[in-house]
Amino acid sequence: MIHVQIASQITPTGVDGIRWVLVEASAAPAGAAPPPAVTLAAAVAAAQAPAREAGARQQLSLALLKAAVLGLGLGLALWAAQTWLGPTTVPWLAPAAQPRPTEGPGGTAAPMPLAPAPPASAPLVTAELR
Amino acid sequence: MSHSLPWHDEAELLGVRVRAFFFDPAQVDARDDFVGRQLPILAGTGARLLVPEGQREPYRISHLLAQPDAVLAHGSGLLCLAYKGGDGRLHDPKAWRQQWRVDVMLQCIAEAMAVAGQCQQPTAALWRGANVLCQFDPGPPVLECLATHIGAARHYWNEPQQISPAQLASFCEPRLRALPGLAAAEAATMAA
Repeated sequence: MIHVQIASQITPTGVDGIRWVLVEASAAPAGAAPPPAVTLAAAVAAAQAPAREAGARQQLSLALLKAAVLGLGLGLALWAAQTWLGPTTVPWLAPAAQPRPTEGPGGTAAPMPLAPAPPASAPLVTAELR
Repeated sequence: MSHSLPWHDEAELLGVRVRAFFFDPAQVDARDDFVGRQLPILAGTGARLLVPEGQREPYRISHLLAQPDAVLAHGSGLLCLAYKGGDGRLHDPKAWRQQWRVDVMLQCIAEAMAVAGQCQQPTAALWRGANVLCQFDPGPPVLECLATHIGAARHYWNEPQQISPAQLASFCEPRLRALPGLAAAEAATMAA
């Protein structure tokens, strides 16, 4: 702050009756000084930053708590159903069934021969017609 | 009156005690010495110019940059004089309040603040018109308004470096008029 003295009276020999006022010194270069709106916005943002951080943390913990409660409830419900009603019959929850031998890898039946094939080792029976 | 100089009249105008000394311009303008010509009430005193007549030195306080028409050393203080402003018309000694220009008055006070702030000496604000010499004694509300609105006026005028006393005065005048005490006192003075 700069002291400014304004004389309230003039006499034939000098000045008299000093009034004092303080003027704020220009601390920063004027060109770098942001406009007041920017200063105000920055101040408000700086003041709100900790509050925003705390709010985000609180929302994250609330979401985690909700997920934990939902997971616990779902697990409890499945356990209760299995205990009281028996193993589940839901296909995708049942143990995987072994594929039958007649089935191919894709579950389709293998083609069956129409007649049994003759043994390879049996002699050919031929008859000469005379 | 409590002061010893022979002022002819005084009035409270927008929070500023204005003392007026009227003179005959034909007689005063013919004087050789600067003090006798521009400050006729101080003719023959020890007031002296800090720089030669016609040179205007810049004075700065905060972001306020002033170039008063003349700065004189007078005893232990300074005199900040403006004599080039105004419209050049003659003031009627009986109706000078109605002819008064508040912007010129506030500009002179702002210039004196810049001089006082840079030189760190008590400074009196004066204005010399065509036929009147005035000394301004600003009250605390006026001084505080001018001192605390330099930054706001700079942003208002979009001046990144500095503002002139005229810009500061123009910015502060409506704010001073909005002060209820000052406006009522001025209305009473005008009616008187």
